[in-house]
Amino acid sequence: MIENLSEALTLFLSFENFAVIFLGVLIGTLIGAIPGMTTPMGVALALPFTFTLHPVTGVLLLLGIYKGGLYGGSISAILLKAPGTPAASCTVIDGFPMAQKGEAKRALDMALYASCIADLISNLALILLTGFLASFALSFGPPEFFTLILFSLTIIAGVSGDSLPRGLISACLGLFLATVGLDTIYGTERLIFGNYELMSGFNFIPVLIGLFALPEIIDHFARKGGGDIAVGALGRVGASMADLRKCMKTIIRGSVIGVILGAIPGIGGAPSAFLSYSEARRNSKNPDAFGKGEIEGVAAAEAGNNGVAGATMIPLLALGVPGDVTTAVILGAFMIHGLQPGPVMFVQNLPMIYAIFIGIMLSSGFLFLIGKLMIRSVSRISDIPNRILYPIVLILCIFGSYAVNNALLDILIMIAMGALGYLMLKLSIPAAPFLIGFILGPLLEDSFRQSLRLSEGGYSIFFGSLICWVFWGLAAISIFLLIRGRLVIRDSDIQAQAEAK
Amino acid sequence: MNPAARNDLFLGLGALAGAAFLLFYLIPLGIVRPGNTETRALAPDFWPIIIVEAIAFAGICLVALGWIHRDKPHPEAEDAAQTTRTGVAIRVVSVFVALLASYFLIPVLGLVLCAIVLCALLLWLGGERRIHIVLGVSVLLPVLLYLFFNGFAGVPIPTGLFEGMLDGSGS
Repeated sequence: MIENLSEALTLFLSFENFAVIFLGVLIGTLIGAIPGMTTPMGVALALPFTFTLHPVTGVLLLLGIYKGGLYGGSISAILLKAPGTPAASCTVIDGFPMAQKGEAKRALDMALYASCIADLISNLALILLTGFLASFALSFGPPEFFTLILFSLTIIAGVSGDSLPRGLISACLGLFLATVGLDTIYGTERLIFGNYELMSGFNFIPVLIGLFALPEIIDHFARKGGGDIAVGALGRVGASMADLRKCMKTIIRGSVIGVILGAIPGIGGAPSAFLSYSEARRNSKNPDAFGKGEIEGVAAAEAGNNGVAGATMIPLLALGVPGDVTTAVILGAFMIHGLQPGPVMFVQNLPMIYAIFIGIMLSSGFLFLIGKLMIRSVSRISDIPNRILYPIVLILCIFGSYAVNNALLDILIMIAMGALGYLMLKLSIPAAPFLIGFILGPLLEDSFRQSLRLSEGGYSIFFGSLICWVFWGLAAISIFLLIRGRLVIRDSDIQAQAEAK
Repeated sequence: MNPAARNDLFLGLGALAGAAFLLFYLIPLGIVRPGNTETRALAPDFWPIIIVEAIAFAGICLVALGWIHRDKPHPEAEDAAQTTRTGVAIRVVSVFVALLASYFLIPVLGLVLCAIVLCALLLWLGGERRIHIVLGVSVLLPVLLYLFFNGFAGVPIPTGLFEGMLDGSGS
């Protein structure tokens, strides 16, 4: 053990390693903050540069970009309402209302604190619990996935505002849009009407940008430039220690959710962010503030999102199974250097794994440093008058939508989603359930159908394991608490009306 | 009738009409269903149909809520028709027309030029009258984005008429 650690330190302690981690986190944060530039894109772009580097240095560069990208998505989500990544779209729900209230810096600070703490917890889980979490992750099959996603969907009720049917319509529109593309089992066309660019379905980024950023911009022009955001003094006030203390429980809960979901291959940051948000809202003393600029909402979303960062490396390092697209590229980097992650690597290249662990821990520190420096400059975006800021955001959205797939169709999709989003805004249909349905829909459908294929059509498979029962139970409790909460609100309204009379 | 209840009623009816359109027209037209599906639940149209049924259910709920609350007093009822709807509609439609026109002109003019024109137009529409700001922002931003995406990220930005001139390969 000591021998391996000293070998790992020898491998790690070089200026090159420190520099690439710093550079990686910086590049990742910038990439994540630009709508249209995704983390997998950034990692893939950097991959060729790792060919000539030492394997540890190369992998650390990619990991730095990955971690920076996860956090960077929150910057554009909070300031521009244009999430840079699907996972950051959960941060929009409370982050942008905070920016509108002139609390952009406070939201950005909290996003950074939550990201760094969650990242650190995730890294510790990677180092200490790799074996245990990898075996737990392996017990997740399609039925367990289905019940987990179903449970995650109960959050829809929480973000539906005053009208549950409106929230349901919004979620169903998102779920329906997610069905466009090729059928995953039979390979037949679904609602693409001969447009082969839609065979892999709608891309997340143009849909998210169109649905969130564009309606805000259109509404600004509809009001004829009415009202710039009053930033004033509050725009300079960051998150306080009291804020951090208030959110700490939420951050730790979100981090644990991120670690557990991150260790399961194929889930990713978005469901984790939404589940963390949902749990924060459920446990909050003031759930009605969520969605209106609640700092705890930002903390929950970012903790859930960044909690997956270290954990996605667990199946990669322990089993050789990439948990998402980014870790698949990182797997490629290992293989380019003749290394095959998995149990054999723990036997043959243990010092290298320890060196990567040391680098991963350091990346959390760099993330904090870079995030702090970046917030100081980017929070000034709120000072730009809306009449100038909104056209800039729109041009960013157009370039970003195009850049994801180099497809002009994505710009049209963004415009169409903008029209839909504006209509929803005017009809008081909340956009958040749409987003949740759109992101979780494919996972839900795929796991549902894969389960039924495994069971040859038998529905009992959804009740066949303890994990399934746990998620069914949690979903039932959530729905019960939700109905009870709504009844309490209705009773208090009736009582207030009676007292007023 | 209470305006909120009326909104619920109309939205519910709209959702029901939309669900009927999806269920009876779009899904049969747009989803190819192979003949040899193992079970009904595995058919490609099974999931979309379930979703549409949920939309219809939400529509029915909204209609019912609108009907139940139709005579309920509403504190905001009198503030409803204050906005100048025609002016708002014209401005919203103008922005969408500008966006769509830009989209259709990209293959001809290129993304950079379209973005320059669109940005300048929107800055002007938004009330910015300082010409150096309008020109500076609308020219600099698309050019910088072009340089970033084309040069750094390797994303080929469509240049339309200017193809070959910007990358130096044209005459």
